[in-house]
Amino acid sequence: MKKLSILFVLFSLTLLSCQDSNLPDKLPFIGQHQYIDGDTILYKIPSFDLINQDEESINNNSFKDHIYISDFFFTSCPSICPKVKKQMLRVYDKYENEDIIKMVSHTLDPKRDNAEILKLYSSNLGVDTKKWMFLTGDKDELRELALKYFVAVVEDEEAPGGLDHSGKIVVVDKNGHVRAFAEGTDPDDVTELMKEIDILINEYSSED
Amino acid sequence: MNTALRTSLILCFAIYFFANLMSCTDGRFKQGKVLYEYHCASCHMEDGTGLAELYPPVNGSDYLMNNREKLPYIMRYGIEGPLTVNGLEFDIPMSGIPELSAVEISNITNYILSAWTNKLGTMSFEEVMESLNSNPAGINN
Repeated sequence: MKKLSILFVLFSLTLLSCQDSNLPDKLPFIGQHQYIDGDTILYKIPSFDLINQDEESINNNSFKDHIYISDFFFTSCPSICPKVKKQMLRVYDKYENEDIIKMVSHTLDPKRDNAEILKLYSSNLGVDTKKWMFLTGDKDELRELALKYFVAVVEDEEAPGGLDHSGKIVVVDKNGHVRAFAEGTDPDDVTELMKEIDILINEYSSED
Repeated sequence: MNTALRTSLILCFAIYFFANLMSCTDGRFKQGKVLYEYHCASCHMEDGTGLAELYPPVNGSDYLMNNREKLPYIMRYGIEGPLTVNGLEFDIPMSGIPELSAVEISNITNYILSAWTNKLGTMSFEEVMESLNSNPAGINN
């Protein structure tokens, strides 16, 4: 009987250790920071100049009052994009009425995905483009920018759709710092990401 | 105490037994499931629910219910819209998957027909071949 109770205690302990009880109250700053003369310069999304589905010009300043959640895709992508979009849609549904949150999807195939195509895509996805915008622009700029959001892109004729790329969903704060990311094809990872987004929202609301 | 121990042991065995039973029914179209997840789930999703008005569902789809016999043909040759599924209109062309053999198509078909909430019966290999050799009305490619 004694052995049984020891087992029981051990079992309860393993259960406890599975629980995610140590979520931080502040998110880390992610990326390659620079250290110059003893100062830390935090990694930041570099400046960009793109256009959205309504052909309006969009740059870093467009998000200065918002946390934004970003991904990269292309509308004709037959591989991971739809799965990532399904997860982005979960995030959208959760934060639809949370004004501080914006969402941004960048195309990696601007030749095909012009503003008009992106507008049609957003309407088929059933989302409000005031909340979730779709960006296109110069192909090289978009490829470069993808890397800055930790999205790897490789042109590959063998790959479905001619492009191999990863499906990271990245959370950027009001100052352009990356604060969290998730693998957009993994629903559990995105569930965790949403907990992190809550923490970031909380960081700003406690500032007021 | 002994009775309690015995009861929990019996309970454990019962759970084990049923879990095994469940995994047996799960594995009925195992190859179909693996192939579905590889070739189809990107757009139609692992749970068959599709994505908004971009990719139609194959789980609980009225189109599939009414056009069961077209499923193998669509897999091999693709389909172009517009296509109305559960009251929504879809218009992104699906390309066919020519590398799938008739047997593989048959396994995917039978997986889809009985997966998730679908209770659309099974399709014999003859029926699958008939579909592949047909030119179903309403499919333009």
